[in-house]
Amino acid sequence: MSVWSEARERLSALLRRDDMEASLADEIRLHIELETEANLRTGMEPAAARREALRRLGGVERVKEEVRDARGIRPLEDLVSDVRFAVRSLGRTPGFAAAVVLTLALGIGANTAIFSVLNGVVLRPLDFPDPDRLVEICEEHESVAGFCVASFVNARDLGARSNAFERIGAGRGWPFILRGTEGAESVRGGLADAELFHVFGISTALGRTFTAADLGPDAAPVVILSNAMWQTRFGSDPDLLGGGITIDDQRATVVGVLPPGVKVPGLEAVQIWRPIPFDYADPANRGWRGFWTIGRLRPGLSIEEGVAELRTVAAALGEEYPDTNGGWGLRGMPLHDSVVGGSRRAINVFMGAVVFVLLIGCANVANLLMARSVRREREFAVRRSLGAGAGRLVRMLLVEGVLLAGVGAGLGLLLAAWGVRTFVALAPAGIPRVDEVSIDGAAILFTVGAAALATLLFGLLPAIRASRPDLVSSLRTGPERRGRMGLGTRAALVAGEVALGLVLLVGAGLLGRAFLDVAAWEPGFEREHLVTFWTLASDGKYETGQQVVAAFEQISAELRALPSVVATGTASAGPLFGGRETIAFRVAGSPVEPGRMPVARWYDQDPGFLPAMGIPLLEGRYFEAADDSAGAPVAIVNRTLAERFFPNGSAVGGRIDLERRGTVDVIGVVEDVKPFRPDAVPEPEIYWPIAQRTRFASFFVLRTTGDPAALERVVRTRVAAVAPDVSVSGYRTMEEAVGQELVSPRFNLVVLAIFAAVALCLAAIGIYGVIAYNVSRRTHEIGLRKALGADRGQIVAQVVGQGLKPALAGLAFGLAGSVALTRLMTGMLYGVKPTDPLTLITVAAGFALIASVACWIPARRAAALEPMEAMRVE
Amino acid sequence: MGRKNADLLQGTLDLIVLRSLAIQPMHGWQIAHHIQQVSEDVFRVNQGSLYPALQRLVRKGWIRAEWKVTENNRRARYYDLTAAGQRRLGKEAANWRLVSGAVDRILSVG
Repeated sequence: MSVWSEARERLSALLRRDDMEASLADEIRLHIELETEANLRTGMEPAAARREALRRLGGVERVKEEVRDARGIRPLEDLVSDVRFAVRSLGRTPGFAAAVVLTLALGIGANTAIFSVLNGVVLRPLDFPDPDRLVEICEEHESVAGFCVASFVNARDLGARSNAFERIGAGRGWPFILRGTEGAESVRGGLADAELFHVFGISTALGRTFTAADLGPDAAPVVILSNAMWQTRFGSDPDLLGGGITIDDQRATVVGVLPPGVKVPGLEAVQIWRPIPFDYADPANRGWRGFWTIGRLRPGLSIEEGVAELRTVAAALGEEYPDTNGGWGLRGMPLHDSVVGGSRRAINVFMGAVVFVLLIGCANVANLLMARSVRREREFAVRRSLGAGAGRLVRMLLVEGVLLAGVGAGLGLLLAAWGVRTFVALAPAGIPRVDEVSIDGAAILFTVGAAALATLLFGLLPAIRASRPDLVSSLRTGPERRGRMGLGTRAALVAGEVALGLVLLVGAGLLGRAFLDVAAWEPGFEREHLVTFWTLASDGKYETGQQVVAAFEQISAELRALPSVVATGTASAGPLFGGRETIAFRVAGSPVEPGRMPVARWYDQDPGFLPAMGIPLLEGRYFEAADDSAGAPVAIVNRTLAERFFPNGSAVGGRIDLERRGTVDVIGVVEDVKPFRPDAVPEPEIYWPIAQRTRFASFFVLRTTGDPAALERVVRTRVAAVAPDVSVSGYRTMEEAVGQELVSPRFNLVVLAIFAAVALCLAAIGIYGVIAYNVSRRTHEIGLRKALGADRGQIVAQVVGQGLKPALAGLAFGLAGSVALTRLMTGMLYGVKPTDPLTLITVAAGFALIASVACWIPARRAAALEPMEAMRVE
Repeated sequence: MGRKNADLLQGTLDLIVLRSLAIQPMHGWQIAHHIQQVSEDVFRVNQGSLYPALQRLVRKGWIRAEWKVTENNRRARYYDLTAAGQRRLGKEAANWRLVSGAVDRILSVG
């Protein structure tokens, strides 16, 4: 007899249970009839014959029971009946069941979703061989404070001289103009040296990576394509390898294609890679720190050891090349930290929120289950005295707990799946690797495990109590005496929930405040009707910078002719667009040593830029057409620079020495542009005319009468018509730019607000649960008080007061906790103080209000009790 | 009541039921009376313990049950030996003879 057929027999026995019961009854009845008839044949009286038959059988019900046992499905049958009983018993208290299931679903759902995201973004290592050995290397100097940059020449020398690092590679983004059959197009390109791909352990899917022979201005031009570029633009054509494409009006040979999905961290957007085409021997290139540099440590070395060795190399380079490397230091950090670095604080805050919500959820479940269990103590005492074993009671409660936890977890997982999808859709582009996020198995196990544990633990409490011997006192005492037990614990749980909830709410409140501050940015010029786009002149078509500037002027004239364009201007960067370039300077004639010169941001501009933006002139004049290469070198400074460095008089007429860029005359002072972040202070800024210091690329700004977004097509065709070799990209209104800056704070706010809302709901459920239970426990007493003349107001006041006590204690703890914990959020708050009194008071008052409502609902019910009825309640 | 005792009884009852059904299919009451007559009233066991034993043997797959009509036109549940039951009976009977033979020899010594 195999195990299988026996199992099948048992299963069919379970499924045919009702049939079998009927059949069993028939069988026994037949037996008794036949036996009775046999007895009659021996001459017995009919009644005696039947009695004898029953005696010899040994009792109908007992036989039936033994046959049922013999079917071997007894435990399953009991389980089915336990589940039925649990469903019925929970169904009698739908409010309780809903509160527990909702709490579990919210807690499990929110936590699994957020933990999955954290796991995907932060905790998971980078997808490269031995990612722990990848180190971001930055050259250090006050002029590049806050940036991680290095020159590609220094990167080569560091790599060649280091023993601690296997390889050091450098690269950077570098837009190209790709010329195809449909015309020129600006594509996201990048420059890489021969080491960069090897550092990451990236090999090509087709062809080869770069070699040292590909580097420098004299090498034959070659490119490596991203897999996406190869697929979408070139139809995955394998013959492209060795063939040519035209970038920057130059034929370049395709020597390699990267594998699908492989991206260089920090340069994920690059579609076409070129070897660095610049001269390694040119001193200016050694001083051009515009590259991103990554090293791969030798196995077994710590980052500290590796960086310490590089510092000595950097110091040696400083002595060999004092002009470009003197005074420059070096630092390094794990690449993983740098890749997730910006999001790390926010993610830590979210992680804290996850823990808080989980704790609140568990406290709530514990509270609800304890309230229920105390209420049921008498039921259990009755069951015990009727003969139910302690084991049976435990099993009953266990089944109830599993049922609650199961339904809660199921809903929670649905919520989590939805939450992760929403999170990915909502996430700002800045969060790295967010596209790799999916629901995490460990997270599910963790949250479901925690919630189930809390449910079972607190669900079993009454069974443990019921197994105590003093059944009689449990049966005899009225409900109000029984409920005393655990009341203190439950008030403490409520206080704890409120405290945790308040901290989350304060955090969300602070983020909300910060968001409003940031969104209300008033830069000092009109934000509306302003658009910017980036233009780049093809390398091959323009011989000199002056030709490029002339082309820009032509474009400006063409665009100004459009009826809806009020003014145009060009600049290398500006508010919310372009990069950050700094230069060391001093007021001419001041005794500042070259190594200690202050640093200012600088932009080059055409004469139209400042008026088009609407940045007010405070003194002197704007640039004019005459400020060109033939004119004297001039500059405009902002208010901050003028006030700080020309404190005793007008900056206009003063002269400024620029490091390695000669001396300029200050011809004007303009108002500061208010920085986007409310906590940032305006920096000293210097502007000079693009005509005096040319470059091949610039931002255009257009001031329009109507909606600037609608102009994009017209602008593109006009630019293509007058300057076909100038590409246009990044067309964006100032409002869109502001919107993109707000994506990240809005995202942080939304996530924390969700957590806070969940916490608030849970805490309200918790308070309500306790008060409602208190009221039902004291129904008798309330009735008595009413009979003795207490009015409704007094009853309400007393019940609410009792409920508010733990809530207020929780609020006090929560405020203290907020002050301690929200400091960790400082970097996300854009200058709003973590102890912002307005936020603290508003949030605490709001929370107190909700707590009062949660108390008031059951209090009102208590006050509405009819005294006589209430006193009859036992 | 000791557990070993019950096992012994149960095992013996199983053997007797299987052997009885090897003669012909029978319903519960017939089995009870067959055992009583053949054993010459030695086994006047509780008839009630027969039905759980039958249920257990069905579960093990050694016998199968089927509702049929008796000679007197009554519906009764008839039990019949399966192929597995035949094999089981052979094994149990051999085992029984071995054990009872051994017990006999022990009793007859001295």
